[in-house]
Amino acid sequence: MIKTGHLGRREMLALTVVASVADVSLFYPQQLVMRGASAGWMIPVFSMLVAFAVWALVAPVLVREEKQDLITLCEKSLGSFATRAICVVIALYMIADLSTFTRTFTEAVVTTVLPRSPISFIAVPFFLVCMYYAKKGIEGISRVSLVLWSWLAIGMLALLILNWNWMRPEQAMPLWGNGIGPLLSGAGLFTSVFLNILVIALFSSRMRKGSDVRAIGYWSIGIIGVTYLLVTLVFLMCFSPEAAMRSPFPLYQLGRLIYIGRFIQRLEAAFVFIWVVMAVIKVSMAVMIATYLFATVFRMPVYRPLVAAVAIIVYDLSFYPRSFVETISYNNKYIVTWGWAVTMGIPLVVTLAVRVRKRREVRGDEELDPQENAS
Amino acid sequence: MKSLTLKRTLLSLLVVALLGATFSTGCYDRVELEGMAFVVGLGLDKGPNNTIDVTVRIAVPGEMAGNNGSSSNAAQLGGSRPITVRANTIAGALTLLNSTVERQVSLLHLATILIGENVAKAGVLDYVGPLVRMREFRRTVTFFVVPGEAREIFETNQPVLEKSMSRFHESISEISRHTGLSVTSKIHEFIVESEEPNEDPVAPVMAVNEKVKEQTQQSQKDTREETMPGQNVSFKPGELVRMGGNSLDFIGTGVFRGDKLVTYLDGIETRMLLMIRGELLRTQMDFPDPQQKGKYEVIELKHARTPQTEIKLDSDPIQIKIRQKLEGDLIGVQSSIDYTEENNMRVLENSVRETLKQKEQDLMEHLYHDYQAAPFGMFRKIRSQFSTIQEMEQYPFREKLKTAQVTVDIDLNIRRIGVQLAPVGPK
Repeated sequence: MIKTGHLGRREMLALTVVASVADVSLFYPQQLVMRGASAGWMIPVFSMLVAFAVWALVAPVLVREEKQDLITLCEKSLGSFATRAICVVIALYMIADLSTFTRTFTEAVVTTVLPRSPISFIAVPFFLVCMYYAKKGIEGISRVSLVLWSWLAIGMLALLILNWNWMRPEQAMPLWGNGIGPLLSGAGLFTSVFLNILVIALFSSRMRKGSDVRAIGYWSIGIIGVTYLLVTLVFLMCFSPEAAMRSPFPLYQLGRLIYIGRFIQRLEAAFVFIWVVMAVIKVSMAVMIATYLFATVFRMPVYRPLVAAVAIIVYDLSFYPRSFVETISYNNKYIVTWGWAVTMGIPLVVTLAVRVRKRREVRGDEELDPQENAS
Repeated sequence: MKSLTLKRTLLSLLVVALLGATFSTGCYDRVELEGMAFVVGLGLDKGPNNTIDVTVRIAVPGEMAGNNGSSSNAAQLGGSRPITVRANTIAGALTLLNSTVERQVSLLHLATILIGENVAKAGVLDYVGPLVRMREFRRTVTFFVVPGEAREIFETNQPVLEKSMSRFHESISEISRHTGLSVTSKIHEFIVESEEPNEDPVAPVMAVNEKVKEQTQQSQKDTREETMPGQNVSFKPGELVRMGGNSLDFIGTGVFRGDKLVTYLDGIETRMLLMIRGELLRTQMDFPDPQQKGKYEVIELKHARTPQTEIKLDSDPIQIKIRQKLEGDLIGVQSSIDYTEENNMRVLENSVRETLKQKEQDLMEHLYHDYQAAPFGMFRKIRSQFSTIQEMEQYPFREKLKTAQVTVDIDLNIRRIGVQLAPVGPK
């Protein structure tokens, strides 16, 4: 196990929440409205229920096997080859997710805040900062998250509340939007944003108190689900489903829409801070995780020498799509469609394997006991 | 060991300083304020062959501060003289503007869009839609529909008090909220309502009052009888009977079907519209005295509660029922009737109630039956009567409006009578 430092309860909660809600500032709410129309806000609710169900299966294993994490549990239950394969799959998913995320983030910055700057002028400093944080390790990133997350929550709430004069609750109707089918399929796919389950499972052994893992999981799933729900609902009520599905940067658009008389307006610059902070934390964490997993695969004692290499790969891949539209298309085609298999599927499979192995061991013990008695 | 730590610290500081200098001073997006030409007002008129005539007024900061009060011919409203450019698109027009304006034209401080009648009738979204995609454009700008040409407004506008264009339009919007003679609407609301399948937008109207314009050109030397001969009171945009002041009338409402202008409402109809929408603030209105012909009583009205709407979509024709609870203050009595007496007060209340009810009902039937336009904000509430979007879109909404039956029920209570009991009378 590579030494990556210890995590406190609040630090872990802050890190998992901030990293998972980072997508809310980009095009995810618009995608939710595209899928569910006026009921787009329901998709995070259904996804949250799925995430709760998955966590209810994963958490007991992590709590019971204290000071163990996804990798060590996988090694015990599925063997070393499967562990390496799983590490590579998670690392590749992180890199793919990061590539589309950083590209959409930098494109969003160019489109909305710095239109004349070359994209590399924004991407290079952004990656340098993220690399620095990734080198500092999970402990450093989680502490930054803890320091900033209350500010982010206040900022986000302010952004939503200051738009109250535009809100029309009727625009969240018809109740079922595009129908129950798209809502349920959307809910299944949208579970990929609940990155927190994977992160907690990967770093559960770093927790000072192993039994905290269960509560952190439930709280983080709840906060993430409610954040997506609130942002999508406010976005819908301010823009109407017809307009919301044409607006790719909801938080920025909501920031620009604030107009409470002559003196409270033009506040969007203050809210840009929110999505930059969330993006830095998410990218740092994901680069760190991808690097850490590659180091584990190659049995390296430390992961830090790989940080620059992984960051450069992500930087290169982020420029592979030719445009913002193509990036969204890649994201929907690969990340959204298959992300759930990594974020939910892998922790679920590994913990199920641990349960099966435990049962076999118990049965084996029971079968051994009679023989011993007989002898 | 100590010197090594010191060296590392100094080296780190140097790296931070160099990086800071690199990334903070040479920002690509740095634009000097002196290099910008901020458009504060934008007018849109239709040109020939599918072109668009874009008129702009550019802010001149020195003028906004009122430093150059004597040179009113050179610049009006803290801005440049209007400049009009013909182009295929608004973005194209803004680029062309830079061939005559010596600074970079920017929409960052755009306060108002004036939409010419020909553009409004052809469909506003074709012109304003591309603007929404532009980073500099804000959905919170105010906008007005102009009966006639938008450029004429820029040329004619001579405010009574304000010196800044943005302040001027904000003040008009604010005052309209209180008089109820015009609606207040931002372009965001217009776009959202245009896109909704069962709601239509409205827009405030700004019109040139030709009579006042003529008076202004003749230096107001004519007598009152000559300039306002035998005309009754008018609430129509561009036809207010008055002398002096700005040559523009800020009264009335443009009613759209989708994004196309279909008709105008006058000031009184606008008040009825606002009353149905539940957006009327405290507003003073004149009502004919029910007991003395030719006399008028002034009542300040406001909503006591938000209007209740009931729409029965399953009946044929559809039934629309509105219940309003209004509260009034009697603030002016022309007649000699003592309306502080309870019976007289009931008579006045009934008369006002019937007048309002009839006007509201007429207005709704007129817009529903003649134009199939739904600008009253009540049809967005029917969204909850459908379970899915597809079901809602299949509903023949416009068709049903043709025969819609409207019932208005008003509960009016005149609560206060001002600071006088019986009316003042002669000896």
